[in-house]
Amino acid sequence: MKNTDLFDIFENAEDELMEDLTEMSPEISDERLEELLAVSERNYKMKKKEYERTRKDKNKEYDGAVSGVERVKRPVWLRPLAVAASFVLVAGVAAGTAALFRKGRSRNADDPPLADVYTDKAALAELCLNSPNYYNKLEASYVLVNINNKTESTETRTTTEAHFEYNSGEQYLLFDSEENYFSNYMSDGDVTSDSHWTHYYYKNKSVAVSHDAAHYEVMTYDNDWYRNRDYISDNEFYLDIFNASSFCKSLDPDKFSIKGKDTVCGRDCVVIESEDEYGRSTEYYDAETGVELKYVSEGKTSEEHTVDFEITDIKYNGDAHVTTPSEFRKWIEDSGFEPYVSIAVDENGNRVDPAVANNLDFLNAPEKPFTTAVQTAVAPAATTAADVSTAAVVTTTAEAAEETVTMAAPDENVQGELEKYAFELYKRSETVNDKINGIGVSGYGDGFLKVSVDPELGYRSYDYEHNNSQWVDNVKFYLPAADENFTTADELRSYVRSAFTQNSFVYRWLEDNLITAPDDFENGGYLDSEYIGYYLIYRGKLYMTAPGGGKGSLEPEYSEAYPVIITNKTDTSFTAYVAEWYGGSEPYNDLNEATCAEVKYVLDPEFNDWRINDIVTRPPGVYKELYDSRNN
Amino acid sequence: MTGNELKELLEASPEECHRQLMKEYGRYVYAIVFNKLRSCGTREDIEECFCDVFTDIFLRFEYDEKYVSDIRGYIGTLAKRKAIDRFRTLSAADLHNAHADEEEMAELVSDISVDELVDGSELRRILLQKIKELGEPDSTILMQKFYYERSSAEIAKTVSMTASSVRSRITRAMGKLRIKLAEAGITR
Repeated sequence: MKNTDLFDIFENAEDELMEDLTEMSPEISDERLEELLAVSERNYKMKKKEYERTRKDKNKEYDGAVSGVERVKRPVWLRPLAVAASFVLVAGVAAGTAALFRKGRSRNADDPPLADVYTDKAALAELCLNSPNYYNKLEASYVLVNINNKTESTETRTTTEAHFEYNSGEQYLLFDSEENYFSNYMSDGDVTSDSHWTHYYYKNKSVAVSHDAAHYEVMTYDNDWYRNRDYISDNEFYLDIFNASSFCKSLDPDKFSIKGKDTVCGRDCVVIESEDEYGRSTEYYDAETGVELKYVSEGKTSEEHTVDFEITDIKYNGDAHVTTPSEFRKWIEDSGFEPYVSIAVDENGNRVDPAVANNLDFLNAPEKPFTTAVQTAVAPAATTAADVSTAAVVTTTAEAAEETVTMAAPDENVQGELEKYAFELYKRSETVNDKINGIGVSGYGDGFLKVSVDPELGYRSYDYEHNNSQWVDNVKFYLPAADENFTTADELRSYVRSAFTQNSFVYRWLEDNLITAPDDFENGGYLDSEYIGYYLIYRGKLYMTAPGGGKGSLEPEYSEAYPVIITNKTDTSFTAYVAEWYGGSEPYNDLNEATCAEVKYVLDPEFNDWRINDIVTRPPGVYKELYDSRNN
Repeated sequence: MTGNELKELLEASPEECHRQLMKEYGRYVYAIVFNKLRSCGTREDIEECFCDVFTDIFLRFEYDEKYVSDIRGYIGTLAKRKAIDRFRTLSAADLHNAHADEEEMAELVSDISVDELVDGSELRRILLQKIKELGEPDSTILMQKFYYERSSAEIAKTVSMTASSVRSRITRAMGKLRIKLAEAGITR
């Protein structure tokens, strides 16, 4: 992680600051606005044309997804949101009248008479819009065939076989789908692909499991998953299972007609039809629950678009099996799926650890934090990192030999040795991180390296060659590393390893930035961008980026009243939470003002000692919540 | 213009409606996109994302009825999401490390730095407050110089000053800001 200059802290600001940042933003000249408008207008016309050609219902909102001409591979993290959106259309809608609420129970004699959904359009719409109120559990399977671009010789066909389980009371959903895609529409020949996904939705998160890649990814939303309707796609027809029919949403009786009754999958259905300039649709809704059981549409456009959807099996309430969150977690863990991140860095440019990002704890009740246990491993090696208190380490290891791992609750009033050690190591890691980024470096060697770089990189450096307070363009200067802790690449690696694991983002950043100059490079010569990093090894000597001005860092403050809190302790890992204050004034006792560092420690086999594997900054309040839960 | 007025304008002239949308919300969208992409995108990347956002705005305004009642909120969410998408794409291929400040300006901010480990919400609030206490046009000049990374010449046009006047004001304003920040406990 690199330190940033003052105004950099406005990056990724809260929404509340946007008004101020907008007021202070540069004006857009009329001329520039017209140029930008022309670009947006051109793209708008292209997208509109495509959207008009492929949408199946003129009342459908534009959703940002244009489909039909070519298959756009949707990023993994979009898929869960698209399914989640369907539930907002139903679950998030205000409840209907009490008379229609029959959630999972048989009708009683005292119940008011039901409106006739076979004749009353308003009653039918009400039933469909509030469908999840009419059952507690739902388990069903369906087949969906979606055909686009159909001509005499071409078509694009997507066939989906899916199974889903939904608990409408506790709001969790499992959705398993296998999709086969075929298209011979494009001139470059047939395209086919198969995919198998399982998605699980609970609280404000979802898990997407790719059976083909044998991995899973957790996504987090701003709200409960069933309230998220940001992504709705024409192609994700299964959304309609929980009734997304626009004419019902609009409650406009002119948009559809009730044709009569039928039976689908043993369930009595109301049959409705609608027709517009794009084609005709026939839909079948469960007359008791409002769940859509069948949908057939036929297009009228020159390249027909048809959709066939039909439930093949359905069970409600007592007959339905719905996988619980803990059962789903066990399935993932037993199946051996690996955690995966589709985006390797977060919004702050930090590497994302897949194991951390895909924490499945939300599927279970969290374990209570505890900390009296220390590892029972063999005593660590005699030598440890220089700056760590030897006394603290010795004390810790001495106690380690005597204590055993136990699930006992923590003694909330005593700060244990593990907490002390973790705290010291954390502070040391801050020093290490500063130094390898050029902050607090104790010195540099004589001489410098001058490297000409690609102008595309936009470099401008202080002129160390002439040392005349001037700056030069497209040049980067390096100085020989001569810190008290490291002068060679191996010493630098050891220095970082004294606080961090090999898998940590800091160590991986280091390896990415320890670059050896090619053999034919001479001082003053040119290097391609692939050789430009924070460090350069030239003729066996380690150089680091020459500073461009003073650099410092804002030192955090800590409070003895709020010690490190340790959780999730095992023989080989634990997590520590550290309360920090920045920029405030003493006394540091307002936990609402404290930021929280969530620090992951693992027992490093190379040293048989704890090292930091990851550090995540949590917002104010996280430490407070932990502290309060332990002290109340 | 209200959402309904814009809708009426859309019927009469879509291009004029789009022009009004961009005029009214352009700086807001730019501020959001810039805020997300400043660390990893060039000015071209940011403007490209800006145009993508407005393409989406134009389409949603035409097809999404719910848009009309809360345009600003909807636009803000859309801009933020698109900017984050673009951030992820740019960050994955990031080799860019520019130091584009004019030489005499670089050291004004170089001795006040912030550890990026910090969440920063409180710091942002304090810093913005101190900047605003400097009054106009200094607060806008500082933000456009060091946050929006505009040159003194570009800023001069917007505040109707000469570039050298802008530079002088920057030096004096940063001196005042440093004192204010030190009083608030933010220093080297």
